Amino acid sequence: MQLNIWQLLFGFALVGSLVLGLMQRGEWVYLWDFPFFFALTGLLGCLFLSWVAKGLVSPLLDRREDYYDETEKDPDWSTESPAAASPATPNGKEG
Amino acid sequence: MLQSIPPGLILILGAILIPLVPARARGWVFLLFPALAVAVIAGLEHGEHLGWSFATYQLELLRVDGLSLVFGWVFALATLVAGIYALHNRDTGQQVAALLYAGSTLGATFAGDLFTLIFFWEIMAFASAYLVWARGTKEAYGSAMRYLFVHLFGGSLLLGGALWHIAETGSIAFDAFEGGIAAWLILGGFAVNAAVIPFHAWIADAYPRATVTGTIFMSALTTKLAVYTLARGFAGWDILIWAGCLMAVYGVIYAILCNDIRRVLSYHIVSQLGFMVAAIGIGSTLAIQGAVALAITNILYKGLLFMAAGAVIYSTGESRMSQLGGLYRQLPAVFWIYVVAGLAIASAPFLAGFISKPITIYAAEYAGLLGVVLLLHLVSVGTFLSVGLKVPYFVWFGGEPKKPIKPARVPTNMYVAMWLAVGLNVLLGVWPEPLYNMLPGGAPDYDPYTVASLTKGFQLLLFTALVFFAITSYLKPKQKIQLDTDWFYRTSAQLAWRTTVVPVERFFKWWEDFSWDTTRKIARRGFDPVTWTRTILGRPGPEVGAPGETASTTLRVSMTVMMVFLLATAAGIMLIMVL
Repeated sequence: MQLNIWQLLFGFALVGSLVLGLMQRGEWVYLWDFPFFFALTGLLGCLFLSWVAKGLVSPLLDRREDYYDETEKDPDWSTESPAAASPATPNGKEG
Repeated sequence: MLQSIPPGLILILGAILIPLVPARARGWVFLLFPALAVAVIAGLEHGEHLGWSFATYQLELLRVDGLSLVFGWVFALATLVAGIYALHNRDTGQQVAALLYAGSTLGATFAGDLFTLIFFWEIMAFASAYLVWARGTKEAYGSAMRYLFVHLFGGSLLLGGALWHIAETGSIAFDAFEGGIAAWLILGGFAVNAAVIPFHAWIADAYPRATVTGTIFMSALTTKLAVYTLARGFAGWDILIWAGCLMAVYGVIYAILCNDIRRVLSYHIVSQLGFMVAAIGIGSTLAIQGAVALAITNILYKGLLFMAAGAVIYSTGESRMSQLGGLYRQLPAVFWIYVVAGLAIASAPFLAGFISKPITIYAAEYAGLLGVVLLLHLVSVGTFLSVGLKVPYFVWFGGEPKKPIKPARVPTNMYVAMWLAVGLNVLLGVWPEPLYNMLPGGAPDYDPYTVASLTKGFQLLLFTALVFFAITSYLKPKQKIQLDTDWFYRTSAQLAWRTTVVPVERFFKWWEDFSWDTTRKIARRGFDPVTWTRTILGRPGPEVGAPGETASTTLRVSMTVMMVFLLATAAGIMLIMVL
């Protein structure tokens, strides 16, 4: 697998943050004094929240965009945005 | 001689004067008023006050203390930055509404009594609703109306509570409340503006529909003023701890789901307000300082997030992530600005969020609320996931837009305002002392930059990012909206129609059809009894008098019919006599 420079830096930072955690020798009073607690929170918390949102809440509460009988399907930004007032056409000419 | 002038009145004066200024200069003149307000606030000193006798009451138009001063500062500064962001906008209505809105917010901030507070509170609701309305679309009109009604409901609770409180205690002073029905009503009024669940849906309904520039004012003012009033009136009320925790989790889960960029940010406001409300509920000096510091820094980075999102919408004319993508080539500067704000809100080290949010968590730890601490850490993960990673990835990278987009140039004044806010975020991140020294009760007993806190911050962000990049396709935004508590009032009109009008209408329609039908049948029989009888007798034939029908057959049939009638009549008479 070919890694680019950003991925390498990201990997080093991950390892570095764990090493930093190990280097601090303090008393373990609370759960969060465990050296890798925040790495684990990030890891598991992110998975957990994604699952709750996408797996549990989304099937229950997702609706079509025009559910409330409003024209939100294609919101009209023409009063706000010059791009919406003159939308680009596929051949690049302004409409 | 600028002292003892309520700074809010300067902005309200501006709202009156600004329509007289020619369109070309209006944006610049707009900036004069918040700048003047900043100057006035810089000259205010603790303990300063301005009273005014009105009827039999002594109103307090200006009350300067640690709490009101720090909020006054940030409201005035935010108005100035938002004014720069809106410099290209020449809509007089929006400029007047924005000044009136910011002025009444400052008026409410420095209000020392309940009447003055309510007076400005109501003006805020109308002025800010105009900023939604000014979008000029059908949805924006609906949103603005709902926004106004929700806030008028909150305002009525506040007014009712205040009148009750004054009748009970005889005092109109706005200070900490003790309890009782009056205090609960006032709490309800504040809770509507603080987006406490279930009164939070207006925020995700109205903010994404407001004008690009109007939302910047809205994100800075209404909810943060509510945090201020809660901190003054209800510090240490236990119920706020749990209300805050619920808000923090609820908001962040919706933020992970939403498709519209500004709706993600709006739900995330609910989540951030949760931290502040929980800290106010804890009520210790440190917790209140944490809530205030978080509110102040939140105005800076949330405003910046809305500004960057607004720049994308202005430039592309699209607000939904499912329709956007790959914008990095066209809008790289806006991307980097957004990333700074996204990292700041996720409390990355050396940015404004790092010096404020951990104080609230630390205060919860100090108060022994370990469950709350764990929950807030979890929400911090969701913050970075939804606002810091998902939005920038799916807007600036993550595939191509659905329809070809030709981005318009983002006005220079928007960039100036955004870079100013970036500067403030970095400045406060590396040099928190000016903010800490302004907090009520002096600088907090908290050191943001320790090796341990840096390690925590880096671990949390890096590992959240690791998981995000592993599951990006799972988190891809869908072209959907999510139901929320606004469902109840948005569908209640329809529901009332369906339960009361529709069944009645349906019954009468049935009855009408039935009676018409019956009448028609009877009429048809009466019109031609001969054919009818023949059908009953099972001897259908051509109609009486039809061509081909001879006189003798007609006579025969008529005779038969007559016989049948006579027999039936006789049988009827006999039956009646027997009975």
